[in-house]
Amino acid sequence: MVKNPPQGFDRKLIKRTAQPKIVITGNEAYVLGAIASGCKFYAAYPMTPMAAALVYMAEVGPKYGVVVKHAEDEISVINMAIGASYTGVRSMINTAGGGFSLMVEGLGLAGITETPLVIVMAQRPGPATGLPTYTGQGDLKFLINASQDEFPRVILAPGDVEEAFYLTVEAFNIADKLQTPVFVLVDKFLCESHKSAPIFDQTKITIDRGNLLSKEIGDTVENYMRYQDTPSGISPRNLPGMKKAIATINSYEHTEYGFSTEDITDRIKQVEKRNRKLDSYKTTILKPTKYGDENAQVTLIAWGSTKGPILQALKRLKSENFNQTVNFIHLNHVWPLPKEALIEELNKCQKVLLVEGNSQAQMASLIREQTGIEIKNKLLKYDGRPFYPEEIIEKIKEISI
Amino acid sequence: MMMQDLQARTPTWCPGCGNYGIWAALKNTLVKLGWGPEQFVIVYGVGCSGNMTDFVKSHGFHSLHGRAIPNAIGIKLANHKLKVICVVGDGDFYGEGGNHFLHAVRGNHDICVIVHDNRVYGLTTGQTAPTSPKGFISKSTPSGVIEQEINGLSIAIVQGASFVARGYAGDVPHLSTIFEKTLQHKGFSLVDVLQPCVTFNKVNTYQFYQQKVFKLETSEHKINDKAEALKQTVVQTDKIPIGVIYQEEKLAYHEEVAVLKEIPLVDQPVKSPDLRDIWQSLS
Repeated sequence: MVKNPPQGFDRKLIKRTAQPKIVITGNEAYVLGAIASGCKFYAAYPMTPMAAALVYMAEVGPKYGVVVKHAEDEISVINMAIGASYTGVRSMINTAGGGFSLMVEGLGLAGITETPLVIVMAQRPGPATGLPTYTGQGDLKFLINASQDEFPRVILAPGDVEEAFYLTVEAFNIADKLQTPVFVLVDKFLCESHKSAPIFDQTKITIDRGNLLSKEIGDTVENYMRYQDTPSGISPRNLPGMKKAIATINSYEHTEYGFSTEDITDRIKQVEKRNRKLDSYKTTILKPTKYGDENAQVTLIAWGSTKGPILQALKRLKSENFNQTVNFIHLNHVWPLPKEALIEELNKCQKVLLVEGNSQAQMASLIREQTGIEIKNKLLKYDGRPFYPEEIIEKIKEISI
Repeated sequence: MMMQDLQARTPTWCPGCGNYGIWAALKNTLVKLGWGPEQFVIVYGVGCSGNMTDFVKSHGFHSLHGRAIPNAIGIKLANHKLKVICVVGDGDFYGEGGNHFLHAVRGNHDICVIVHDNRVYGLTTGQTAPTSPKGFISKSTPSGVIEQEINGLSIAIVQGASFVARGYAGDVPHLSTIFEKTLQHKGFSLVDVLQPCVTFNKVNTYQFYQQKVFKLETSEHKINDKAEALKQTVVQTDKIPIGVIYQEEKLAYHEEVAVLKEIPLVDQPVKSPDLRDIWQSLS
């Protein structure tokens, strides 16, 4: 405390005792999440709203041993990263909807070759060039369904800068464990907004490379099968450079050894093997986070960056002693959905309001598809602007009458 | 490594296909160089050429049509101890993957690209290719193709490739000598192999090439002279030069990446680095 403030000043300066904080954007947060995960290969092609992430990674990444490649197009971005990941290096790519459209072919390649890959996909309103420098949540269903035919994928959606960091770390572990692409789905509002946050806690980070053959085994094992049909669907992964665990990873449907096949038994076996990889993962998905009271008269449900304005709205309603109780269910794990947990939660709710940044309520439709529960009250926004707490409050009051 | 160590499945190519000659020359060269399986990776595009994936036992990556090059670059950047060989087709490399071709050359990435150039689409049963001669009648161009054929070797030379060669699948010993040089070259190397497609290309046949090819090493050609090399690929005569057309020594892409100076990426431990400096810079 400063004693005797100068005359005319009636305020005193008090030294902060709280922990130091950082000021950080979503773009910076997931880039640091990647570095903190031991990611060593990052490729991207600049596009709003993630161009600043490429710039930040190019600035800081090399200090931590990251090769940063600005490739000629997004097709090359995803294919370079798949090549790098195939060698055993943790790899991440970064794009927005238009660039991801070009990557879709490569996404399937990662899926069928069972190559781990982390993809940070930053949404902005579209289609095509759309509203390049504005925000939206219109790409959820695109990511769930992108690519011809079927293979397992995981989509994580951070709601703020801290979640952007920790969920990117989680994405790398899931990608390695399931040997499949994992998305971190963000948007312009999260990517380019500056927020203050406590310093991210690196002691919380664990690194899990999944079923990766050691060099010792790879150099001695006989009769190695890259796509071995295992109960979990996850096969021991070799790396090029090994002396005995030799295989071709194959974009064609393949046998357990990796040879191309058109055989009925092989095909069914590999499709089911790939699908099974999600079974064990589904049991590990955390319940969606609930903010506010356990039970409330109105429950908001949302995913991704709408978290901030919704929490703000709840805070204001409380401070003005709103006559109804309101809580909020926030989804980080948007694919696969934590189905059972959602059914349990939604069945407890009295009135549910979905808040989402697209015109067709993609999450509401997904929840109905996965749980059979229809959410009737929706606050949808697709004008390119983030949600404002005022409009959320207004909608809550409207449905509370 | 012996020839039988490379043996995988029996090829499914048509009898007489030029792919057999390229396959044989590549295996000959790998055996002659004495490389073990831990030393190289072959990345295959999609097409008749890419089917070679099942016929060579090695570390391999059967990529997508057109995308073998970026996969190969990613592999090289992540583990530059590995020699990375690309087995691709003309439609695959010059057509679908044309943009990757331009930029891989420009970067002098240390990958060796072997183009199976049969000037037609074989796997999809006979449509025109980027290397089909103007007027080529195919199933997709019944009135003859209007475009001029792509000149991949000239483009590669102009864009800075450090090794450019043309081979002929009908002369396996000669093709093997080219492969031996290209596999030992550091930097981007392109070998365009003239490959008869006995089923779908009735123009560019073994007889056609047999009469036209001549070995560059029997001429006065200097492989370090860029203008001369360009002349060999641009000026069309009745004769087709085969052999190494151009070679120069220069740094490969990965040699200019500071992060890769000490050890390959793949040898770096996967752990969470101390980020205290970062938190400091953000607070």
